[in-house]
Amino acid sequence: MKRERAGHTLQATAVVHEAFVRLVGMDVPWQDRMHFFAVAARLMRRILVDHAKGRQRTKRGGELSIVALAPGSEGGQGATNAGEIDVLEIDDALERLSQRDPRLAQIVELHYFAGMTYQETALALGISEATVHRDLRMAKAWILSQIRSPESSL
Amino acid sequence: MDTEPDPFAREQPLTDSVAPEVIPEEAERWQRLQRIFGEAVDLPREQQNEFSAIACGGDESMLREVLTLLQCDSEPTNGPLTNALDAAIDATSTDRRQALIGTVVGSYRLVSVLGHGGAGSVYLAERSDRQYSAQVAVKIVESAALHPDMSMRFRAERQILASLNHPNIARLVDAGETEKGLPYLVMEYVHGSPVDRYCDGRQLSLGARLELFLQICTAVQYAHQNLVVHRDLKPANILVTEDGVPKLLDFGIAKLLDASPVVTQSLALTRMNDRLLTPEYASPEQILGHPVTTSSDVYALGVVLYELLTGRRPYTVTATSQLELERSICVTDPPRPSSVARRAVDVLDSKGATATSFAASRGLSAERLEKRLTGDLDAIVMRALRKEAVHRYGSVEQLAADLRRHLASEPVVARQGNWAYYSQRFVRRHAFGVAASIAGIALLTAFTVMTSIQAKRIANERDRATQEGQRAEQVSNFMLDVFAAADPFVNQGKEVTARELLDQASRRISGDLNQQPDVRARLLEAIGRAYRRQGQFDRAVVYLEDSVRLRRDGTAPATSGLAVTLTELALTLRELGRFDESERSSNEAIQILRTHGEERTPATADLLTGLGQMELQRGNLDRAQDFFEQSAKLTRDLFGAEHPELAAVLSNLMSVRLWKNDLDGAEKLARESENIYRISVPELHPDRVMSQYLLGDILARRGKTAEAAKLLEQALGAQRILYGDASPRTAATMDALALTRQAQNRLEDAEKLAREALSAGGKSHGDRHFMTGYYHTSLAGVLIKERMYAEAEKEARAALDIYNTSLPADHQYVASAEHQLGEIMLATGRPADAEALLTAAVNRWQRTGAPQARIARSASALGEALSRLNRPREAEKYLSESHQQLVASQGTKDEATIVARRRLEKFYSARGEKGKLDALATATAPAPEQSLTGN
Repeated sequence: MKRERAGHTLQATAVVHEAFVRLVGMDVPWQDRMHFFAVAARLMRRILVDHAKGRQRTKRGGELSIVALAPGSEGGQGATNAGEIDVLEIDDALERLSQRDPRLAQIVELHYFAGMTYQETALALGISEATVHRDLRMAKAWILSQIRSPESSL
Repeated sequence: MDTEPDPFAREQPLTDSVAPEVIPEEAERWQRLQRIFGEAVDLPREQQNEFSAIACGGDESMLREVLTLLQCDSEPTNGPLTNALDAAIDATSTDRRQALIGTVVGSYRLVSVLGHGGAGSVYLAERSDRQYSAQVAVKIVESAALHPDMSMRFRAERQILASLNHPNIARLVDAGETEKGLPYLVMEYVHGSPVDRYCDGRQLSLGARLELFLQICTAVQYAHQNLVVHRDLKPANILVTEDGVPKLLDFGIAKLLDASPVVTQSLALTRMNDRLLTPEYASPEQILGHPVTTSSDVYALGVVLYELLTGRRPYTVTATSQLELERSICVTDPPRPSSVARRAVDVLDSKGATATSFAASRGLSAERLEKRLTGDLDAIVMRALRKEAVHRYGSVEQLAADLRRHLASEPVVARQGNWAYYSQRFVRRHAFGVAASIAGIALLTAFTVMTSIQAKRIANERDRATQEGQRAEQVSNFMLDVFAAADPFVNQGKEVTARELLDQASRRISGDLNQQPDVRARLLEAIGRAYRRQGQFDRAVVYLEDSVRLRRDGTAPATSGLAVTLTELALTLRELGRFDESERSSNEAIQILRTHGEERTPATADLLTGLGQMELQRGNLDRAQDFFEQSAKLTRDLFGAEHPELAAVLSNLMSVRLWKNDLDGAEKLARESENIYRISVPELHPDRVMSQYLLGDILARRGKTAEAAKLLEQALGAQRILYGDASPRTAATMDALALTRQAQNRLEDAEKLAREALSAGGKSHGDRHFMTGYYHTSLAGVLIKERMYAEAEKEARAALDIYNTSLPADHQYVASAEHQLGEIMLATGRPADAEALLTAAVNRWQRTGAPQARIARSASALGEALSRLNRPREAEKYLSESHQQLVASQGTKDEATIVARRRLEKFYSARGEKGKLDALATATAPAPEQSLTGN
């Protein structure tokens, strides 16, 4: 079953609210929806990353804040090695992706961190839904490849 | 709370984030990688390697990368990243909450987390001074920091809430702000389970569920009497204790958190904020952001009752989108509870229980459950769930009273008048689907005529014999199913199914000859109407004519009913372009109303409007105007000057002005109409959106492109939400916006929009409908501007071809397409063809009483054609006369005038007529000072 929307929006109260509080507190004129979502996505990303880093610090580098996948939630091919992915790893990989292809990185941010659907992302960026779909697929695979074997990048 | 200095405030706009320097070869390589991956990934697994190897052409490292990527590809699941982020968010949220455990809020120490929801988290707490051992629930409102004006309102409201003292309402004990400035509420701690789980867990019978629900009603009613609206009733807020006592939580809390200006000022913000809420229990007015009243609680109670009875919610989030859900709540009628019980028999529900087990948990078989729900309970629930607050129960007390009547086997109020209500809603919902439109102006059609008559008839019937009442109900139940299924706006993709259902329904009625003639007539009419809404006009006519025949044969004087059916028939015939028959039906309907002394009623006003629209469609502007003015006057008398009904007629009148090229008048009327809607109806109201579109369209024509573009974008955004892309109205707005973009010289945008409009028009009106023809000419217009003449010609010819079968020959649309094609002929060096087309256009404009400017525009082009054909005498006559006329009617700065002038100048200079050239220059050149003083 394809779950298109990044599904974390409902249980994410505390975090999303935190993002909101920060968003509202910011004295920035929102040029458009796109801008708003872009900032929201960036904030979400930052909150999660900061939190993960904080955890890492308190645990004195013992174990990383590794989150295990819910058992049975993965059926996709190639996901075999995806048992543990850290948000910090995603962040790193995303950073590297943005060096290479800022547009792909932005699509990933909007989709995963601001929870925008393919359709919304397409509308916001003025590209077709098919393009979003294609780009995200590439970006996802690339990020995962980075996380699994970071040195394999050229 | 301090405003956090934010790093983004000084940052570049994120959308243009600075691209790092990418070395060209690397960029190229990346592109290639993307391309190969993109192609490989769509291949079957076993072909991917081979393909990649070939595609990489010996580039080993590229191949390695592609293969790695393919290994990491996780389609079709959205898997690893989403899950990782979900978990990260969960972890962050949980830690944030856990961090509060042990801290003291007010005089309470937080002990554990009880739960968390849309607005914040709830903690179990006890008094920190241990004075009492009582446990309380502390709700910390995380979203509250959004609202700067919060604390003041908070203090005021909490006094009121604290005064609520009812055994079924969890008491508000205390409230305040945490050190971090987050508001908190201390409430009586209720140990219990949500009402839906309680009922299912105990397998309560239907009767017991209703009794419990009535207790809940009592509590809500008590609060309403104390002027407190709950605003967020849902099972999670209705707990039932071990002893079976329901307790309502969070009374009035939602108001504290809601509708602050900060939140509502930004659409995007609201939208994002919405994602935190589950709108499944929200009433349409809440979704639309309208004032929330006690009636919203009635609605929410209806949802809760629905769920207690059927185990399902009337509307549910189906992964696709929340927007879809919101649209459903505002537009679609939910299936009746009994039909849910029936349909769901073998379908597993989300909790893994079958309908049979649902029924069983209510102590009934599925069939028995369906039977118990059919009739009273269906009607009661559906009345509570009506879209418009005024059509629901007036109070919770009335809802409870009807339920008590049902339990006592007395007749319930809810079963009266449903037929009128639903046909009215159906009509309203679909009114736009049939609005004929001219010149890209979709005309507003108000169909209250049928509904008001029906309402009246139903009212009379109620007073008549019971038998008659039952008959009406028979119709209404039957039609409810059809209506619910035949709604093309539920989901564009399901339209086929809706048609199938309609077909089934019509077979059912045709087969059942035992029906009373009157019932049959009404059913036939309803089916005919439904077919018309579906755009199947031919079929609709068959049923409507049958209905008319039956009513004429009827012994009873069902004459108002006949007027209703005739009106419907007239509309359908109009859609088919059978104007004469349509007019006859309308006139007969008016006549009937007149003989019944119902001449000065909304019904007559609507018929007049309909006649006006038909005349407009026929191209008889004066007659159209006459009808609209009569209708406007009557409407003003009946409804007053600020009523939406009047705004609708004014819009029609406006389109006449537009056709008469009286742009001042048209703009004035459009503003008046838009203004009425703005003050009288909510933001997403279809008619209000339409009026934005109409005004935008006119402003565009007047060259006020910036204001126009803004209105049109607003309208288009709303319409995409309301109707989706393949709807006549969306098409019209796309078209108008295309014209605006064209005026702004944004030709690429214009072409894209014009193509969208054409596609939307074709899908919604049908490929051979004259409006689709119009969209072809519209696209042709953009293409001409882009100098893509070959494509433009194809479009213009397509339009003429469609008009040939869909419009009378002497129609201004035809002239318009001929003119366009003539201009294309000129541009592509075919003056002889141009002459034929433009002569036809000029004559046709004249015969249809078109505004001078249109005639002159074509005449000028004709002059140009004649000049090229080396017929200077005729050419000069057309060129110079048309130029004069254009100067007179449009002024010297109008685009058409400028073109005409240029043609004339070219003509004179080519012939060496220096004197005439000079005379032209002195007589009509726009003096430069003029424009300066003009400012």
